[in-house]
Amino acid sequence: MKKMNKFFAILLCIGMLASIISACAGGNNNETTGASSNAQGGQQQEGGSDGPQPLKIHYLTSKLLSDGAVQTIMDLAEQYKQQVNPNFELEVESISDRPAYLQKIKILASANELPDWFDADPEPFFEGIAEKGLVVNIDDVYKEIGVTDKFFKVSIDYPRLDDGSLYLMTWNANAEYFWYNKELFEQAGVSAPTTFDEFLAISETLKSKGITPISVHGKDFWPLLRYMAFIPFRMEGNDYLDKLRKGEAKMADPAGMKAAEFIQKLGQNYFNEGWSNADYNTSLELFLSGKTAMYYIGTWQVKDMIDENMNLKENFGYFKMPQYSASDKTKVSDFFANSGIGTAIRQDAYNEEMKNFLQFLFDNYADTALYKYHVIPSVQPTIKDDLSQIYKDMLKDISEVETYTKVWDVRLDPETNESIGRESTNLALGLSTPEEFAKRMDDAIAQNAPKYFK
Amino acid sequence: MKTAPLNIGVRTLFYMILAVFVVIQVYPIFWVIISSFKTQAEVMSSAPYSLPGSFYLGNYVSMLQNSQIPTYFMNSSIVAVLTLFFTIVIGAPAAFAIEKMKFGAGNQVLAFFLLGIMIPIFVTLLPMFQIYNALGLRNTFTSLILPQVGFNLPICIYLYSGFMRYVPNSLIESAHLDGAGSFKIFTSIILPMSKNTTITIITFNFIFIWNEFIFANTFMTSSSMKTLPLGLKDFVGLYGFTDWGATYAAITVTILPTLLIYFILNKSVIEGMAAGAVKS
Amino acid sequence: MTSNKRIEPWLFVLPALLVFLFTVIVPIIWSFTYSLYEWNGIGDKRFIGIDNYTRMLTDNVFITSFKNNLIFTGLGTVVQIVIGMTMAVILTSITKFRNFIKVIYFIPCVISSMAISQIFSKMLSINPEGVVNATLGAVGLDSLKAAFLSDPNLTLIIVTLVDAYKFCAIYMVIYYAAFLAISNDIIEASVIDGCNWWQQYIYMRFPLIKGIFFITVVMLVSGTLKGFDVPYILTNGGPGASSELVSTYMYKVAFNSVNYGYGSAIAVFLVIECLLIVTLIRKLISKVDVEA
Repeated sequence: MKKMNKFFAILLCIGMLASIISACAGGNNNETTGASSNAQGGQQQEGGSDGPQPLKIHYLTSKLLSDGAVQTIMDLAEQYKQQVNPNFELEVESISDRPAYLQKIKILASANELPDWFDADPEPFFEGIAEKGLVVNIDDVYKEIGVTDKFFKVSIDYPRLDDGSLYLMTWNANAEYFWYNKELFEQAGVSAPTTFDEFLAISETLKSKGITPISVHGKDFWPLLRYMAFIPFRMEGNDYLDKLRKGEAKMADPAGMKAAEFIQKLGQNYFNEGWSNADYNTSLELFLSGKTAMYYIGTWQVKDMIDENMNLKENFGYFKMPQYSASDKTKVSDFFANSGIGTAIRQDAYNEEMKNFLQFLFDNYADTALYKYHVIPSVQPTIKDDLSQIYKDMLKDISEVETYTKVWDVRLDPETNESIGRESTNLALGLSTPEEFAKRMDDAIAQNAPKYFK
Repeated sequence: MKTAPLNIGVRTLFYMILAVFVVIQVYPIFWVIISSFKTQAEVMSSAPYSLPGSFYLGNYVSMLQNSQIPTYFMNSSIVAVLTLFFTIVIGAPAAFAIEKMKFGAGNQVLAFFLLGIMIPIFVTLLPMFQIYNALGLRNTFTSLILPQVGFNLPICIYLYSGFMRYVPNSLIESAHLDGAGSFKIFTSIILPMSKNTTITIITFNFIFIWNEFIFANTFMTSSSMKTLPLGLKDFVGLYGFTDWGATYAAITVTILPTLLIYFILNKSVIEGMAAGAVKS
Repeated sequence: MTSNKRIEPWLFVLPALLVFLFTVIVPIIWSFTYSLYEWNGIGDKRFIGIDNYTRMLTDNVFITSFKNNLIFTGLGTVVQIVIGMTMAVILTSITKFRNFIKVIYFIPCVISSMAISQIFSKMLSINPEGVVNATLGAVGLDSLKAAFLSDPNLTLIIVTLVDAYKFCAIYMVIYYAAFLAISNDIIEASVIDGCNWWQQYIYMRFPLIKGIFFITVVMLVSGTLKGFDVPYILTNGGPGASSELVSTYMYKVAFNSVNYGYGSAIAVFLVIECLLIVTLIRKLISKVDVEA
């Protein structure tokens, strides 16, 4: 009996202790706010009312912390803290697993708990957020800080919603290329293709020499959907996707069927083993270590393929999206170029001090990003004479794009997106035929699109 | 306990089967622990089943620098203790009333609670999510404790009532005659007698609460409020693709405390879990 | 006095009842009402009646996930019972290391699904080579090397086995305790009657723990019907929908596709499914019990 009482006494104590701790934890939060308001008060006493207001930005990003853009932003935030506002803090939280990131943002949005800054694409769900007035109009911000004209065209146009409004800041100007391993190409006696027929032919040759032709990762859906987009874009331009997502064009149309057959052929024959469960880093590593011959990726990753002088390493080459046929609607100079995922600012987090920070950030962003972190910035950088040839070429390519290929997983509604991600994987694994795939996608679009595109 | 004698061959076979099963059960955990001591170079180049060359602690250093695992650990502890506490504090009296208070609706109430054992928690996610949003309860311990208490109550009441049913009524009646009220009888007689059941419930539920993932994944978004499983998931999401050594260290750190508690308390954990099922 | 007596039990039950109602029962009703709407969480709700339920009938991902769930439940239950029972029988029959083996064997039970899934995802990896593929290579079984977690023919079995791996020791311990609880007299009598080891199990021990065996069947079926963690973390239901369970699909519909209405309908389906199947098994068991 006595023992038992003791036992309960202990249990009770632990319970109380825990509630005290949790109360403290809650109290801590208050304390922090208290402390910061104190600091604010102190600041005002010391520096007068003109001193910069304290500002803390919580930035939830889908990019890796090691991403060049993120590194640049963090670097400049630190400089801003040192040079301008000691009470400034930028807290960056990264969820690089894209499906997990998107899930989290959707949860946060419906909970009304969006972070101060968060990454988003101009897709239908984000459009809903913008329509509700939850995020800042970036056109206005750019105008206020006078940077509108400094952006690359693609970096300011790509993130616009259908109605032309802009709610996303962007950090990059990206072009996407097929990168290849010169040594492996030589071994197999092949050279860079200019058409998709050649692309398939060299893949076959590589495979017959025991070389894995293509690195791809299926943990994210977007890489496979890039392959899906190639042929329809060459055949019909962006028209096809614009109609498809509203159900006005069908997946069963020739363009869609060609795309489906293309993906199935690649998935069944030429992708790295285990691609469907591979993650970003795995596919990258496979290519960099010479285990696969080709890898499709944007310029944001080019930092891994250059030497210390920003020249392309000898062993690597690259080519643009091939052509499909003589009757292509789009030119070779039109291909996937984009701004990367954009960043939105929550309306009620925006204030004068944040504007000051953005001013500082965008004034210094371009050159820091290019010369220190080797990514192509969204804002046009100073072209120094000693900039390496590959960067000059890439910058030229980006500025020459007239029609950039639209991204499927951004344009489709969220539900169709989920379906196409799953179904395209099935297709590429040979679990469904192109006909079945087309039917499932057309059914999904018929069901979902009316909800999002009125 | 007497058993029919077994010949030596069969016995050897049994030990061999046991050995195989034990190796299968333990190897993955052994493997992750030893791998956490490998240097980055060893992780990349040596065979994954090889032993580390030295007792390298760098992975732990970088893991602790890059994560808030101690915070997650604290959060998990708070949630577990409070959930168990409230489950027992409200579950035990309910079972007492059902079994020992001449409660007309006792059986119906018990059956009603038992329904809960079969309910999958997914059905509550969206409504809870909405309620918590409306009340501002997301990212609070309450948002994890409340639903877990709710879902642990049925088994708790079930086990308590299974035990209390066999407490002789005469004991309670004589206490009544001595002038003790129901509350007094409950706290000073029934509860102390139920010690073993209480331990069963605590150990049985502790493991599930400690490892709970879905509620945390849905309701906890602020990084300072995450529990261990969620913190581990985020850590792997951030570094798992690039820094395998630190990932192994993070996994090890999240499982070690549980293992430690388990090795100290294994008798009551195992017997608790078995008794929980057998008694019912 | 009498009215006091009648109210008193309710006071004892009330806190539990309220929490239970608020956290379990009310949300079910709530989910049911959501399931009649089309709603994405931030926009307006639109009443659509039972459309979300009829949609399930034609949604092939849902149908696949339902089939997968049945395999997950069936295979998982059988594997865990067989392993648990084998281990318990052997443990009862040996004399040395009993406790040691029990303690060691139980370890995976106390570790989170998150940690277990992460460990297996690294062990089964192909690029870079995980321990399983490396071992297969080292012992000359290169032909068996595979991208285990990317092979749609294997993923469902793998998540089922990993889930079973985590929980099977519980059943070993339960059966073992049940064997130990059998009165010594009965066993001694059987030894005197000349029963050998095997007969002892067939005629005495197995029949005597029948009741507990049935309970574990119910525990396993209701547990695996609600399975979520391992497939969600290890394969995220993929590739394609090859390891999707009803629960993981519901989570995706609700939080990836932000279709709260359809997600709720699937959740309600899951409740009904669990209640129906478990009741059915209970009925079957009591029938078998009566006949035997």
